[in-house]
Amino acid sequence: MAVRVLTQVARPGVRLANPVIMPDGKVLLGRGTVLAARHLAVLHDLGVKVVEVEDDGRLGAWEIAPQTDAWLAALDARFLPVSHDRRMVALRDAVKDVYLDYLRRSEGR
Amino acid sequence: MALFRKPAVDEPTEDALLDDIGRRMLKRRVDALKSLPTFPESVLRLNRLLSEDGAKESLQKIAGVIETDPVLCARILRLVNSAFYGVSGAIITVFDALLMLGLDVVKGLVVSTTVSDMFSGRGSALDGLWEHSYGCAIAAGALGRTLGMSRCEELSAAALMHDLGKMVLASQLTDEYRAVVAQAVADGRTIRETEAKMLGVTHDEIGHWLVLRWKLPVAIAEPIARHHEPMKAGKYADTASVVHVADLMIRGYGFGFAGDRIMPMLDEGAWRHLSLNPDKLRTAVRRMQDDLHAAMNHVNTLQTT
Repeated sequence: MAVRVLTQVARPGVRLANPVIMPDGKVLLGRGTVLAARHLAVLHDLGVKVVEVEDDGRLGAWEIAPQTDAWLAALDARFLPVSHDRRMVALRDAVKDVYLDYLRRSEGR
Repeated sequence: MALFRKPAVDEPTEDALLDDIGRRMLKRRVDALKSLPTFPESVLRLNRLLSEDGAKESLQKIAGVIETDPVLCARILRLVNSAFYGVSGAIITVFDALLMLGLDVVKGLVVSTTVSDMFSGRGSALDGLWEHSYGCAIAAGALGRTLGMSRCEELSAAALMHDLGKMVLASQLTDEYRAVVAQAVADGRTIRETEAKMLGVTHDEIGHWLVLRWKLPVAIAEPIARHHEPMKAGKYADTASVVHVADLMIRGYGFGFAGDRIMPMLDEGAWRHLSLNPDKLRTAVRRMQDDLHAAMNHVNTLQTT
């Protein structure tokens, strides 16, 4: 199964499930390429923030590019029982703002 | 700072705490706790050396002892070189690590890496706890820096071990603790509430007993014992409050798994004690996120080299 991972934190050794294609249409890395640390660094430097890799069962949750809607829903569910407390609301809002800002930067949005 | 705990006059002893726990838990559960392994002799020897008078003048001697244990040596160098401490790859000898971190921090690292070794490979009822603990350590360092606190490495070492009681319960009472975790998730309650309901005792109480039994450094022991009630940590309320808030920061972020799916309440006293406000909290969360990604990147690299 293909999983979208963040090149900034992905583990070297993962295998591309789909090729990495640059905006000019050229294939930078082909399907099946095993990504070494230098590949990931180059991809990240070139602005390729997310790639699709094969799920080898060892991917950490932090490596996988999240689905924003699902992440926001889980965040709100975690904080729901304490949403009457101003300190907990401050923490929830801080986490939400910082993470969404990271997603915008990491996925070039 | 005292390296070993010297209990205050009114502080409960290890035996008194175990008696209290025993009154609320079934006997076989208490027996399971009593069968916990003791610390390896080599680590105890090192602890003695670290607490000798004049130890600060014998760093080379202490580094020599650490270097006789390749696993311990590798773990300390790995930790000190992690992005967590911001010197990635620059520290190559234990002596340099001692100079950089100081004796108290190295002692904390020795203890925490030993605990990690003791419980690794055992059946665990709580997958994701190590990630939660590691993330809490990073959050504590980020919060400490945001608040301008000194000795942020010490905060991280205390935070790394704050859920020692859960590690023990998950490894010694694996099936029962797995049921506790499942119930907490199903009921939408915190793991601490569910521990009290199903086991009669909470992980911070178990942690409190264990830090007395193992005579852990007081700067680490108090935050472990009081991370849910940081204002009861006396002169260590600063550290305990940082660990308490860091625990919530990493839970809020959703990294790792602490045993439940909802947030516990942030302690009002800790908020006031640390003079927190929404802006400081946002800065700390941003630092935590940056440090966490850098650390995960480094861990991934280490795992594949």
